[in-house]
Amino acid sequence: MSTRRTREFFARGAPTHAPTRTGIVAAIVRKDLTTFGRDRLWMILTPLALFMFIGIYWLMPPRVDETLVVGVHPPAMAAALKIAMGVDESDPALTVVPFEDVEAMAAAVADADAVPEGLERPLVGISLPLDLLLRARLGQSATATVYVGANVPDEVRSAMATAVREVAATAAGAPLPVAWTADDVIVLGTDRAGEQIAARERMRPLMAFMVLVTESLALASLVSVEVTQRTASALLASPARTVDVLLAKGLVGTLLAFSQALILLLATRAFGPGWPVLLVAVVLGAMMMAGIGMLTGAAGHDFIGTLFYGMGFLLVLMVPAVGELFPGSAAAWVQVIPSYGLVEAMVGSSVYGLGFADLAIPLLTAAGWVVVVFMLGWWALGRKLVQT
Amino acid sequence: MAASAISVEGAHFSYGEREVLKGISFEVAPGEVLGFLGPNGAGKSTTIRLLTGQLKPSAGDVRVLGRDVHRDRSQVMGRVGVSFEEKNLYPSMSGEENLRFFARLYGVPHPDVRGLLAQVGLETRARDMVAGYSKGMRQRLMIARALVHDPDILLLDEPTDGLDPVSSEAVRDVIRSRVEAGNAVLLTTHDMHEADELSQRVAFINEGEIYALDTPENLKLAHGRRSVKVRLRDAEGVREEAVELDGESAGARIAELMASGDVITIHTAEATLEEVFIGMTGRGLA
Amino acid sequence: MSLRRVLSIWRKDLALGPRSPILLFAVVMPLLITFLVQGVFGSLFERPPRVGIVDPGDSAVTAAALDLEELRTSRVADVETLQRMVTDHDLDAGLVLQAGFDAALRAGERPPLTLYVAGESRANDRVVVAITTIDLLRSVEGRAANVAVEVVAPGGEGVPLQERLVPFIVLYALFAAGVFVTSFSFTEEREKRTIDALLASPLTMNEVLLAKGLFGGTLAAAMSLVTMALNGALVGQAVGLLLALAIGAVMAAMIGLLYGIAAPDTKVLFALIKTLSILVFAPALWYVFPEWPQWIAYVFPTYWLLNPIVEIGQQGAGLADVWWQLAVGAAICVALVPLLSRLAQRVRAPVAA
Repeated sequence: MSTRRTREFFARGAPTHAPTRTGIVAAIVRKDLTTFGRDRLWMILTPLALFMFIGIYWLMPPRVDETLVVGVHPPAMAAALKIAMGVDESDPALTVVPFEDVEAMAAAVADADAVPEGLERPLVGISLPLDLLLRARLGQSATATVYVGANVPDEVRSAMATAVREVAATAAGAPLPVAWTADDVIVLGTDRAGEQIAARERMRPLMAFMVLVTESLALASLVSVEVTQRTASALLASPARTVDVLLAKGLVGTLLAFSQALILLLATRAFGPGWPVLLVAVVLGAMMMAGIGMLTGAAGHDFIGTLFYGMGFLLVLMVPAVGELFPGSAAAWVQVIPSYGLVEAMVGSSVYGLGFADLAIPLLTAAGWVVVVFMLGWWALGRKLVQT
Repeated sequence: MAASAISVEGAHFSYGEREVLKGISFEVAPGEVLGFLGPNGAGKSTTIRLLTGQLKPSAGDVRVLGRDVHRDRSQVMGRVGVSFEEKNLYPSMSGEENLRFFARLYGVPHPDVRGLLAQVGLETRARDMVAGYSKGMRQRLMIARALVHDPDILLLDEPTDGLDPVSSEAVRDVIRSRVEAGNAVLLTTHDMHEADELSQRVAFINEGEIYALDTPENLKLAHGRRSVKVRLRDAEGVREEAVELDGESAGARIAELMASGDVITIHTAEATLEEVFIGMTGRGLA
Repeated sequence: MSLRRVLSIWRKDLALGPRSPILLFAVVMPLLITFLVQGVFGSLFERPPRVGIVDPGDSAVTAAALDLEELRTSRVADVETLQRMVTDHDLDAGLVLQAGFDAALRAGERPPLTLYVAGESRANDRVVVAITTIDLLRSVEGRAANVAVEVVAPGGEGVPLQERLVPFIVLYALFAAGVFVTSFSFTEEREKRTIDALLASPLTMNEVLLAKGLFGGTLAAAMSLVTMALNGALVGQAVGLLLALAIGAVMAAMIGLLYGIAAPDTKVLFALIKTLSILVFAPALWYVFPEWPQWIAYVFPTYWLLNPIVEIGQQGAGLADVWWQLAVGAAICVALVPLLSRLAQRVRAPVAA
């Protein structure tokens, strides 16, 4: 080549069309969203998961049925039964349905179609002899029958038998053997009798987690494909740096997870008085899942391997959300799981309407774990990209 | 002012305990094609990766446009176009989309995607997904991608590997036009014909070492053996005899054969680069 | 058809199996689900109330409560701990007995008794706890009423939820192994193009199909046996059960081959499995909801492998009771053979990435 052209060659300097860091990251994000949108697998799974969870939520009963519906024959014994069981008219625990006919009561207990119109279907039916009260006063024996439906728990069967004996004891004038008044029954915590939190409300964090999990696997799949197809080499041979690629993956993962979880929570009416906390929790959850996605995408050699590693992490992370289905506080080992704070924040805000002040500790714990998990994912994927 | 677009001095690199580059040195000037000729596993692709900054040499100096590749990466990589050995394209994007994406990475606001695709013969398949491209089409798209930001330097790793003759010639035409425009090209191949056709100079690399670096002509002259191949009729049909021209009795033997009247054809046979390579390294290019 | 060649593929798949996450998935998941259903979900849906008792005097009431199956009773060290546990709903209720409670009770002194109730406990649980406590007190007092109570279930005893979920677990074991493992094994060969290498040898496509089916099918049979044993469902006639499991495993493997033939790569296969799994697992829902009309379930091919297994394994039916269902299941398998063979001939490996 001529000397003049050589001089011109070296005089060109840096290209005039120098890309900005923001431009590079934006280009990779746009590319990832395009490829995600054309991925048949995730385009099927994502709406399927959403549709399924939203459907399950709305199909589940909105209230907790905490009423024992008890049929009584003869109707005259209804009042005695209530007294024996220590409930008054307004108590949501018990509904007594009087039956004139024993066979009708037994049939109603056995078969929902046999319930007379206008009456509630009884879970159990108690048939008391007409002369029970007299016999009890006279100290004579008597026989009663308790009709139970299929799958009535043992403790309810036993309680009904006890109620019958207590009717007799009360009629016989035998007082309670202990000094027990209403003042001796103390409700601790917020009394939710009649207003229990429905199972579907408790399941919402689990559903949100499942949606976040699906998107985490989607990101892992996108990442592992980038590594196995070696398009990562092509990216890193351009002005894009490792940190640009990582930032783009983190953004894509967070965006996908957040948007899907948001749709689910909006469709299940999760945003109540505690909505700001819930929103923060969802963002943190999305970031955590993005970190997991980067970690598992870097770990797997192919799609199946990525899926396997991903499921392993995510089953563990879902434990606190599953634990919310059970009453009581979580075991100590559950509280150590990174997602525990997130679940507490989600439940506290969406179910109990708590705010930042009440949920500061779970949120801060969650934020701390998010940083750890995200950084782990960042490190693992960065290392993998450099090795590719 | 640096005279070399690419300059590598005493570069060493190891993958763990295995040393794959053992102090290689070479330069590539603007408007020149340097062919790296060697078998699989010789260190060709590793050299490309050193020049793209994906790998850092454990010793030695690697410069592009006079700048350290790692330290001045942002100034350097915008002027370098790379075509990798692996067809690392996005299969769920079209050819056009792949090019536009990479153009954005290079900060090229309005790339002439159609022109580029026409240059490599893919203009009619611009909107088709890469997943549906044949091997040759993908390789041509790789070349187009390496050119999307109008680079000054091209690093081409096996650019015609596995291509049919028509596609290979199309790729070579593109390379020639870029060289005429002043690009410096480092081309790796294990195809000696390609190295011979395209390269102003050829470097023989084997087991991480450069055994020779010169023009193909000089390499053949310096290390090849000149001979004449004579095809003769004999009692059993046809036989061939090679006469070394460097021997003392060469002339007498050729005269003897010509006088026999049995000669069918006679022509000179130059050493091929592969023969020179085998002679120098003891192994073939495969 | 060469059995030797088929077995060589089968041996190769078996040797590579432990390296495959899918195989581990097929082995681990049914065990995990068994644990979840038996150990966890059972107590979720049908759990008795949890009661804690603070009893410094070692009362007979506490001993009797601990023996009761109707309550989950535990001793608590002190009142503060009890109050905290009830407030946190770690207990549904808590009882506090004073020292010397039994003596005072028997002497008719009507000692005090405090019952703490968790605010989040269900109203019906509160009634059950209260009335059960009264029963315990009366029995310790020695003045129980002279009433015999007969408990009758006019509609028959229902099946506990854990047992109703067993068909689902068995079906999952059959399909995790039979469908997932078979289909992934076949699709991976296509994806990695090793199928080309196999078919360039004397192997025929039918032999490949048989080998893949054998691999998944034997694993399916083994896992379903293990799963049924873990869930206490291995009762009834051994011959009938083994035959039912065998037919089930064959059908699962054949469905797996259909998936494998339809999916050119593992991602498409995964999507297919996820979207079509409702059709495969649907029959199990009829055991969770026995009031649904049974005839609708007949439509699903997997019904004919699942129902005989359930009837023999859980309900003690004999071969004579289920032979016709097994025959339908076997007929479905036989009908799938020519379909599989024809579809498989059209299999081509995917275009290389």
